[in-house]
Amino acid sequence: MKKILFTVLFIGWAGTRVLHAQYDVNQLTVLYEQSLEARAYTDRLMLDWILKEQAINPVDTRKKWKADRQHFLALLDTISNKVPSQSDELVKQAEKLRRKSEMWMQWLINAESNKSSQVKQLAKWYKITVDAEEQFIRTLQKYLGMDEQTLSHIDNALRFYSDAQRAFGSYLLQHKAYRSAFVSKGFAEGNGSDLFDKALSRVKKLFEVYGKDPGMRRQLKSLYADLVFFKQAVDRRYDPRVFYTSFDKFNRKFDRFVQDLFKNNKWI
Amino acid sequence: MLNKMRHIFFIFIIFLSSLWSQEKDPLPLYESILEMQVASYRLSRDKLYEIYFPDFELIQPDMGQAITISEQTIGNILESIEGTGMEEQFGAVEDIWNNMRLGMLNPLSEKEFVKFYYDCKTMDQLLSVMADTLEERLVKTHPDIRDIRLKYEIRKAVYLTNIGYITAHYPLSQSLKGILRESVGKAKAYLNEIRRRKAGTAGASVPMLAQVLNDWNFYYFNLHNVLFSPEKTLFSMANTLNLHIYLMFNPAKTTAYR
Repeated sequence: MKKILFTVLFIGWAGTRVLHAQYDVNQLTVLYEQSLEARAYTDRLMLDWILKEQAINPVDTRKKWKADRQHFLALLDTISNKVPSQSDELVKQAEKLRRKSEMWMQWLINAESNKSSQVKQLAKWYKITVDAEEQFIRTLQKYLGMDEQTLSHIDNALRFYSDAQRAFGSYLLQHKAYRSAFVSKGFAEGNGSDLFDKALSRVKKLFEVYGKDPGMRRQLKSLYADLVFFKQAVDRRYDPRVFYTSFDKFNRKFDRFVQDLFKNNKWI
Repeated sequence: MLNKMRHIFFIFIIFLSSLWSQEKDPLPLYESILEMQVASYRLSRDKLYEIYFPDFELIQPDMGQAITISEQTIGNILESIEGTGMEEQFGAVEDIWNNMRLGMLNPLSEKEFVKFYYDCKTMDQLLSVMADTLEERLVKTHPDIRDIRLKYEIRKAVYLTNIGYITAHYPLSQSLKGILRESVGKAKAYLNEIRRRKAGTAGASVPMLAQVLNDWNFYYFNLHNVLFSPEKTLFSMANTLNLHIYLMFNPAKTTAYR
């Protein structure tokens, strides 16, 4: 019994070593970072669409929406270019991700909130894109041979942001006829308050990991304070136009946080 | 050999000058710091009115605007503070602001307001130190730096006079009783300085200066006439006065008030 277990463990270990040897780890790491960022941007773009449809700060939201879309497309380009050609699995998944995302983008550009069939398609393709992204990320994790702890850190670092996007989106979708499409596809949840709580608990965990670095600590403190403020605004049913500005700044802080996190592979 | 060395030296000089030219102009940061002081006192004023005049219809929209401007401005500072050597100082400002944020969306009790006000004052002091540091750098490149500072100091003083009126006439902490006298003194001094500096100049801002002085006289009269119980009037007048001050310094803008 012991022998069998030992053999299985050895094969597993040797397998990851072979994968490591076969692929450029740096290339895979960049690919992984880009796909995580793309995953975060998917929720950001979904929120952008809701903000645009509800005409909250219309000039600004349209401008940001366009810029975010371009950034997302650039991420997809990098993913396609960086994927190692010797791995059929990754090439296929990257291709699939691109196809699904582009389809979703079409709905994102064309769907109008007063046309329920279009909203349903938009929500449906959001979910398909998210699933493709998650699958691609999981595969990359396997190739990178990441341990549980690192996986959990990176998960918190990126998902607190997604939670926040979904939380603000949920708040904006309340009392809207098209809300149910987003609830059924996993974007919206309650009035957003619980999602902000989730995001807060993730940031708390990040303090334990990155809190020793003064720069990262400062950034996390700032992001945490923003989330507390948003949760309060949601609980107080504050006019979303008032905290839209703060949310926009939060987005920029996150961009900066991600840059710093990925710089010198701090997350590893 | 000598020619080669000369060549290298020239390249080095060009490299240094390109670094010099890449240094960011600190003026936008300086103005954001001053704007934050104005916006946070405006917010304090609104929080104070919310206690005594919760049904006054101008409070909530004004507060929404004050929060938006403050949030935007503090974000702008954060985005441009790096490399100035003031990151730590700003960290302290951000901490206070985050503390103020906790109470910002709820109506405050009188006691809570006193704390809110003192947070605002501490933040103001820290921001002033930062502004002074930047001013020392800016004075060489911007000869009009005093005019820029006045543009913000006067607006801040006006909001403080409005706060001062309420703290003088309502049962708040004794420590807040002196705000009115102090801020009226400051506002008058700033207005006199603006008048002196604009004397003999021509331009679009001159007629607006007359309007501002006129506004101030009327406002000042109301500040000292308790019989009219002019709290709501003072609120609107302080806003109008600050709008006109803003337009006086930004004559190209006709309607929008930040």
